[in-house]
Amino acid sequence: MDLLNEVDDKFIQELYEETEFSRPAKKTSRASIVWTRWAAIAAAFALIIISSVVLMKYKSAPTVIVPDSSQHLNESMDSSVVYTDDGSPAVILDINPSIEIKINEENDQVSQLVPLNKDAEELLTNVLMTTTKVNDCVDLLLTELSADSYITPTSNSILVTVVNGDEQQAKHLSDLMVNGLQESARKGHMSLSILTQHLPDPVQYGDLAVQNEISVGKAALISSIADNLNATEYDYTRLADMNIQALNQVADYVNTSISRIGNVAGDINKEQLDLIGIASMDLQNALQLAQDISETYAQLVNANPSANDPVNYNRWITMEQNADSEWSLVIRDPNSSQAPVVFGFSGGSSSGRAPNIFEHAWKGFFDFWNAFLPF
Amino acid sequence: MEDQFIVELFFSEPDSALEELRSKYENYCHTIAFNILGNNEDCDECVNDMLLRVWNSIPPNRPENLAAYVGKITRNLALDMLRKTNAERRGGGESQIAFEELGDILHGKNELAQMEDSKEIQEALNRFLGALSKTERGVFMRRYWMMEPVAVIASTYGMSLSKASSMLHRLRQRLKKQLEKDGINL
Repeated sequence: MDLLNEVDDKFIQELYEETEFSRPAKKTSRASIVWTRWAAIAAAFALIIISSVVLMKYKSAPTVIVPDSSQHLNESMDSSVVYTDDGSPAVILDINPSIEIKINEENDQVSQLVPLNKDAEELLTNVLMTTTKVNDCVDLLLTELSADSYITPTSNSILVTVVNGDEQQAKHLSDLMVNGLQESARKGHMSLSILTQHLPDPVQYGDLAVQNEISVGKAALISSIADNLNATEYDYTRLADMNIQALNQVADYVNTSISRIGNVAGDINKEQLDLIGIASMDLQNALQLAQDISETYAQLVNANPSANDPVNYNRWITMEQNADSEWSLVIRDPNSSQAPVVFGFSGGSSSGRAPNIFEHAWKGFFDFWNAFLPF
Repeated sequence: MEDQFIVELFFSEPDSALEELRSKYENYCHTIAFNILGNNEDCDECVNDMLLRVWNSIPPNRPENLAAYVGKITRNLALDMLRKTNAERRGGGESQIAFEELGDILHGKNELAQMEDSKEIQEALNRFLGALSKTERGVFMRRYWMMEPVAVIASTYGMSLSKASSMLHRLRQRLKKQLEKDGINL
């Protein structure tokens, strides 16, 4: 019984409308039928050759390693591994899934894909990896990451970490990966924010990674943020719980030196940051604020995708100063004659105080916003 | 000519209606038949049979969606023809491969169980298709309804062969999960 023959007519109609059907091939004469037979034989041989090539291609596809069954992995916990421990250069992609990609230095082909956490393991089971080309592998991974909503317009961050190797090797591998990601993103009309770093000695982040069950790449990023904040009692656990999107925002707010290509989604502008005074807050408050902004931004765009347009964003959310030099967060819908909603707070840069006020401001914004929603 | 006029024409001037139908849908039906049967002679026969069947069925039928109506008839005729051919010799274009790909999900059940669940599975399948993006749905329908080769699908959507294969693989997994979630035992 062929159930697909009973699919809803609208899906068939859609298929019909989006396709241009070419004229059927003309009937051939008897003479050409004889010729066609020979051509068919030739085509059969060609098919055998092509099939062999395809089979070889499949055969040479990168190995997807299951950590539990691997002997040579630096398996340090039940649920995840921090990186493979053979000392050769490799690339780690962190989004939330963390995947290690081994690249053969001689031909720049992907030789292994190693899931470093459960999310990555699940992701890789859904990818039919049939190629060893870096760009194609990255394209397949990005498609899957996007399909599983790990990469979205409001969460566009990827951390690329090269472990081991010298500076030259690291730059080469990093460029390969970034170029692959950017090309794939262009094809998929995505806008990525890619963080890159090189860890010539990843072992130094091993303890932090093991302790928090994260990759060494993410551990190094966390260290980079925390060190930059010059914090003495920062909460590694809290940073480790954040995904790369939130960490990318935090890294931007606190001006880390980490290399970034492309703007991180949901980033509030520098002027607003300076007025809020995030740099002078204690770490707990700064992290809380950064996380709130990240989550609130995602909610905002989910409620109205056009808010993701930078032009709208800057028109709707502004910081304004009154005659007494007090700063306010002003929210207005430029398409409405309704008066703007003003959330005033003074001394916005004072440590520990601004986040609470800011939190109220966001809540007020959503109350305001909800009034415009038709549901 | 608009579909509804062609259908109405069958009620007043069936000869003209048949010509209009052939003119509009011959290439479409030929493509469906060719993907299944793999040769032009059988396809021509299949398209002629489709026209005859439409001639005999309108009136009394008055299909609301003519593209789906003739497409389904052509697909059924081509599959019937393929079964007859396969009874004599092994083979059969893309459909054999496409059916095998979906085998574990929709065609792996025994016939009695299929009959009991078929309506439920059809509804789940339509829900699944409705929830896909337009590209995903196009890729899935082209492969499993229209039986197009993966290479042709990849070319249509400007993607690599491996990406199209991977997308189909993922869609089959998602369909399987959806059916399991809907309590349909496979």
